[in-house]
Amino acid sequence: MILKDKRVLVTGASRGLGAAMARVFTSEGARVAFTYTRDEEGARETEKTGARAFMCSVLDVPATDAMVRELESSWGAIDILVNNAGLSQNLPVALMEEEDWDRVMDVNVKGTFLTTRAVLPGMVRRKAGTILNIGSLAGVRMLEAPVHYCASKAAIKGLTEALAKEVARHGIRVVCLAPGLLEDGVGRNLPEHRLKDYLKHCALGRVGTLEEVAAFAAFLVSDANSYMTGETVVMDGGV
Amino acid sequence: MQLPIVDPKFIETSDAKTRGVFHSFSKGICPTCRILVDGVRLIRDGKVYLRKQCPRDGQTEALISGDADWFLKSLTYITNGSRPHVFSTKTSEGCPADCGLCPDHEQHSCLPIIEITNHCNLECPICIVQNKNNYMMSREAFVGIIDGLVAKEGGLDTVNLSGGEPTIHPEFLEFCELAKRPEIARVSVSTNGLKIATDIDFCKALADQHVYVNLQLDAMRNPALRVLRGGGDHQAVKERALENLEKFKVPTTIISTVAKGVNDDQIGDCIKLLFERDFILSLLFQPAAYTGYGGAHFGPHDPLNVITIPDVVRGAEEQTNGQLKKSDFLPLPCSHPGCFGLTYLLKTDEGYIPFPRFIELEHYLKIISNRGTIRPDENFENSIKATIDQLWTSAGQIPDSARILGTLKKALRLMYPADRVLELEQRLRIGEGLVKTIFIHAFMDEHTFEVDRIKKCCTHYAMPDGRLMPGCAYNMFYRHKDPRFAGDMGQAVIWGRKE
Repeated sequence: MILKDKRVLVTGASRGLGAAMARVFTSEGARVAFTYTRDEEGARETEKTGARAFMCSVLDVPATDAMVRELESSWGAIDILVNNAGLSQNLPVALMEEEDWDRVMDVNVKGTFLTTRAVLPGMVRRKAGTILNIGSLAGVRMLEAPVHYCASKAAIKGLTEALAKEVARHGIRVVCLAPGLLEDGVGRNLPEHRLKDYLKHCALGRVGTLEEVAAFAAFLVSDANSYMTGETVVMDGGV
Repeated sequence: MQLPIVDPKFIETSDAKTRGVFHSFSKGICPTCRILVDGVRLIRDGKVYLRKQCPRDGQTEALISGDADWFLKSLTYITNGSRPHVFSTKTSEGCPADCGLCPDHEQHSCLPIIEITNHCNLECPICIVQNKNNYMMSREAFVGIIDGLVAKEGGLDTVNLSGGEPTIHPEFLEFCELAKRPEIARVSVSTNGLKIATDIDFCKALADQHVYVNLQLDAMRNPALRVLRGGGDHQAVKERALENLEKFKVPTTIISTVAKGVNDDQIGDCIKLLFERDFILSLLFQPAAYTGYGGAHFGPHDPLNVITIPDVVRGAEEQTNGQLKKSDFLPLPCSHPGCFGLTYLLKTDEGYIPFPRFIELEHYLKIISNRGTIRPDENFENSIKATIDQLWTSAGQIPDSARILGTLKKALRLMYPADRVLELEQRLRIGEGLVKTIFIHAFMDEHTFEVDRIKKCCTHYAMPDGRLMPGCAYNMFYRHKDPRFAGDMGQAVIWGRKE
């Protein structure tokens, strides 16, 4: 159990990779809390793993602060933060309006910043902590994907590097996991021919499963991975 | 087969109204003795005629296109067909004697039709087949046909269950379930709507099984319906059927057989119905063909004065007050241009916009190449991308560009929502709600039959023995010999006489 007794907050875990991480982290011995915004049914499902649900947008600063205070009060501390909440819109530039850009950048980048800012003081006080940001292959490679989504994921890579440098002196590690196409999430909404094209260029010839990415995420945030920070780790089956 | 193209100036001479201009050679059949005979296509008075010479019965002529301009332009859209993976017969006697398909056939099966019965609860004067009411397909035969289709075609956009009246087959719903395979995107049923109108549970079952309904609805009013479909209050039946289909949101295509002087004034009404009802996805006009029961009983029939594809197009333009225009319609490139015409319409908040008004011809032809239905494949995505770029950079010079872009964005948001993942089937359904289609499918009869048209036929009857029979060839040369239908009465009668 590589996360035994760790206290973990995962944003956006009512479905997909977030829910899978909640499951795997719990099975690895962690206490898990997670946020969700609308998907009540999914949240109830994730709660069955023993995780604690907070209906809280990553853009809602007062609610996020209150959640962090409550968790620190009941748990004593938050050891690990996973910034997973994110969204995409399948839009070409020609149809992308300012509000579309803002929405994706807000949730994916600003949301990561705001949640991190809420959790960091406790980690700094204790001189310990791990932050995992969920990026994307689309943020590090030239892919046919919406520009605002790619830009947001590239921003998360940059945020990871800068933050890792800044908080290293407090014993806090910051890493970024950049998955390729997964069985759920963006990959499932991809047109069939684009999925085929991806698989043609993927050495393993398949999309990733949520469980295998979540298992690797558990390793990344565990103490076994103590010498990695500022890194963006691509997990894409060999594209 | 590529047909020669004639410069339009040759048909615009002062004496063109009376003097036929030779266009091309053809091969048809003598409408009297039904042997293959040589023929020529002639352009006269702005129309195209097929003139044939039978050594025994002499010369005959039939109208094959009511608009020479449409006919000539349509020839420029011909593309090579997509050949079947497997042929079931050999080429020995020549078309159309080797059907099944033979290696001489130039098009795969876009729309396989499985006739699961020849029982029918109507006796339509215009029926293009001759139902003997003596055959119900067995489950084993049906499964064998589905297996064979998947083996031959790989994937299929649609498999159609027909008849007779297929809904009176005792295992109809079970057959629909059996046809639901990963390789088959849609199962459709061609029906007169009687059962749908009278059995609400049946209609719900169609919805539950995601069956697409092709509802025969030639006109909105009884007088015309009675001429085409026989006695009875067809109008009331059709209205009830439409109500029930709408109630359960069953995706529906309206099939309208158009006969000259009977219901050709109701083309606009059918289009209005398509525009008004969300559950109606498409409209298929079928210019009347005079084979089977209709060939023997419907009339008087003057082969020089019939409805053709461009006549339906003209009717659409005239009867919608220009809402649709001739330029909105194109032949389906993969079939013979004499067989199919169509237009796609984008649904916006302020009405429908035909695709050809905002998609460049090159891209439009790619979208409709080799199929009559839109599928979100690479071709489609690239064409839509190119269209979006063109509209975006047109600085408002293309009419309705802002409205079209807004609709396309709405479509993408619905099909690829940010907060949840949709299955391909759900996305297809959303796409279907945003695009409507008007097809025109001209069947051939003994007067209009041409060998080069049948070779590119993609509407095939799927037979229990594995053969795929091009529709018009089967109706004219094979149906009456089909042992399934001959039954106790022996060989069925074609055109009111024994062969």
